[in-house]
Formats: sequence, structure tokens, C-alpha cells
Amino acid sequence: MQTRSDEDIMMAVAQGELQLMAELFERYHKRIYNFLLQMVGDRAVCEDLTQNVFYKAIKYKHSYRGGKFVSWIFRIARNNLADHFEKQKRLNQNIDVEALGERPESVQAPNEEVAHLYQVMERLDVAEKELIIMHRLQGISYEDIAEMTGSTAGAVKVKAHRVVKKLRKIYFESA
Amino acid sequence: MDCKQFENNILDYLDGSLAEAEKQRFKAHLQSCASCQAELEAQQKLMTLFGQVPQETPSDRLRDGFLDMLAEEQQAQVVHMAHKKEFPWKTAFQIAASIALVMGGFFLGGLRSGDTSQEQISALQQESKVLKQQMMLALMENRSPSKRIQAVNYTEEIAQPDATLIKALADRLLYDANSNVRLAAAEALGNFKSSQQARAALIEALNTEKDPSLQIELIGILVRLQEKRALEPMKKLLETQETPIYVKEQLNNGITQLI
Ligand SMILES: [Zn+2]
Repeated sequence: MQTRSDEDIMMAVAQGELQLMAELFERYHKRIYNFLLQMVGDRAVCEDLTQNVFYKAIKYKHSYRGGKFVSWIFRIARNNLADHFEKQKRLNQNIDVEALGERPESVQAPNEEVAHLYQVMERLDVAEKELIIMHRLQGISYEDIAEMTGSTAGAVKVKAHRVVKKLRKIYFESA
Repeated sequence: MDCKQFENNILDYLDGSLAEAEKQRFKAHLQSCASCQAELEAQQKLMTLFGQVPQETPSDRLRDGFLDMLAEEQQAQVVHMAHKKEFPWKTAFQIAASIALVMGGFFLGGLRSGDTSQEQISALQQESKVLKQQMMLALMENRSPSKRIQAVNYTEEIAQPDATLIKALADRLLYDANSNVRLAAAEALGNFKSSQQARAALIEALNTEKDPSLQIELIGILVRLQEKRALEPMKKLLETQETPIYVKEQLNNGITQLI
């Protein structure tokens, strides 16, 4: 049996068949959750953020106009993430940073090399880190990232290559 | 192929997207250059590490929360559609129509002037309009956000809103604590293209609204209305440091469509 495409399902959701969103949730929630987790590192926060992504997808279903679903849903995820960072920033201005301590339920690396990779990734700026996580860790194509960010596949590829190279340099220079 | 070109081709080589001829030249350089061999190995190592980053499974709390939320949204949708169908003014119009029939019969029988019955019908229609509006205004003050959203959505069916109704929608947009009610109010006001009062409320909201999703919605509506007076608050928002980047993108985009 032919599987129904994400885009086909989302069009039906936009026309009011809300229950079909459950299928898109099954297909995408893990990827979105891991994208957010790799960006933020806090499981509870990322579960909330992921749920909010799907909440917004339902609320703003009419804004879906038939483009690639992965680009559309990840655009919502990135907006949510930006909101989250913005809130964090405002919060940190009011709270003594020392008092924050360790992040709760923070993700531990499986081995020392990956731990080192995490550290090195923190030295990229947010947009660079986001690009690497989307393309290399969540397998989103240059084309789909371009549609998401209003760019071209060529431009995204050039940028992604530059960031990987930068990451490689920092990783091995600081090894 | 020199070392610089080799370097530029490393990722394409490992991703398998290098054309055959390029691949041969890449391999030829690899054989003869130790430092490029080291670079390639470093990159391969990095790729392996990317693969070792764990992909976690979220707890059941996420799926449970999603399914609850979906059920609620479906419920709200059913309620909304049922209300649309059964709203009393439809019945009121039906009553008006049947009275008109009776009166029409009376008119034919009694040979009375057609104008009189026509006046009476419009008086009845006028009354049901007032009834409809009163119900909507009352519902807009309801404690439950979903009821308030319903009330706001009912206004879609009104072609010529009066000042009281626009004022009620503007109050929802500017002062409602629930962002979904504010969103519905913004959309409703945006439909009343020819109302200056509605436009003024949308512009004021852009000055006061703090929720980025609503800011985006307001910008979209005001740009669609080609409302030049929105330029000032848009510029202000653009210059505000706390405005998220993606809202700023929307603002830049909108400004270029208004100037
Ligand atoms: Zn070389």
C-alpha cells in the first residue's frame, strides 16, 4: 500500500480533519524533540516545546499552503526555540546566574569524544549550531532547509560546509 | 587538484555527491598528499561522532499531552460548527420568513399595499439582528476562552458591523488575557476592511502586544490591509531589542510592502 505523503495529510488537516495530525505527530515528534534537545539539552523543557510545536501546527493550520511539510513544521519548531531562548535571556537578566546551577535532567554524552563534540558545538553561534543539527544530526536536506529559511539550497550548502569545517578545526585543535 | 580544492571537496566526497571525474582526481591527490589524508581522516572521525550523538525517545508524557490537546481541539471544532448551525438568529429569520408568508397571504387576500408588509419584514429582520448582536456581546464576556473565541468568530457573518461591535472586538484584542482570543479578535477585525475603527484597534495592538505569534499575525493583517499608519509602530518594534529575529524578518518584509 502506498503511504500517504506528509503534505497530503497536512492539507487534509488544514481543511479540518484534525485527527490526521496524530499521524504527522508519529512521523515527526521524535525528530523535532531531538532537534530541540540537541539545541537546548533539557528533556522536560524540550517535551513541552515539542508539544507546543504541534499545538501551533493545529492552531495555525490554515497558514499551511502545501509546501514541504518538514520545512513548515521545522519553521514552527525554530520559532518556538527562538521564543524559548528569548525568554531564557530575559529570565537570566533577573536571576543571579550563580544560583542557576546545573541544568536539570541535562543530557549526558555517551562517551568522552561525543562530550567533546558537545563542548565544541557550544562554541558555534546559535544559527551555525542549528544548521549542523538540522542537516547532520536530523538529516534534513539542503533543499528543505532552504525552503524553511527562505534561502536557496546552494547557499545553505555553502554555509553548512563552512560550519562543518569550522567545527572540525576547533574539535581537533582543542582535542 | 590542489590542497585547497581537495579541502573544498571533502564533504561532497564523503556524502557521495562528487561526480565521477572529480572523484578520480580527489583520490589521486589523496595518494600523494599526507596532510590531506589527515584532513580526510579528521572529517571521517567527525562524521562518525555525528552518528554517535544519541537520538532519544521522549517520555509518554509528550504523546499523552499531545493526544489530550488534539482531543480538546477536535471538541472545540465540533462545538464551533454545531453552534454555527444552530445559532438562534437563523431560527429568527425562519420565523420572520414564515410570518412574511402569512402576511403575504393576507396581502393577497386583503389587497393591501405591498410596501407595508415589506416594512414589517425589514423591522423583523432588524430585530433579529439586534438579538444576534446582544447574544454575541454577552458571549464575548464569558469566562471561558473558547466561548469568547466562538463569539468573536460569529462576527465573521456580519457584513456591516456597528461601532459597539467593533469596540467589543477591539477590547478582546487589546485586553483579553488569552492569546488565542486576541488572535481570533485580530483576524475578525482584519475582515472589516472599511472600518477605520477596526484599523485603529489593530494599529494600537501592534504597539502593545508582547506575544511574538500575535505580532506576526498583526503585521500580516496590517500589510494585507495596506495600512500605512502601521509603519510607525512597525519601525518601533524593529528597533526594540527584545523583538525576536523572526518577527524582525516579518517586519522588514512587511515594511517593504508598505513603503
Ligand atoms: Zn593536499
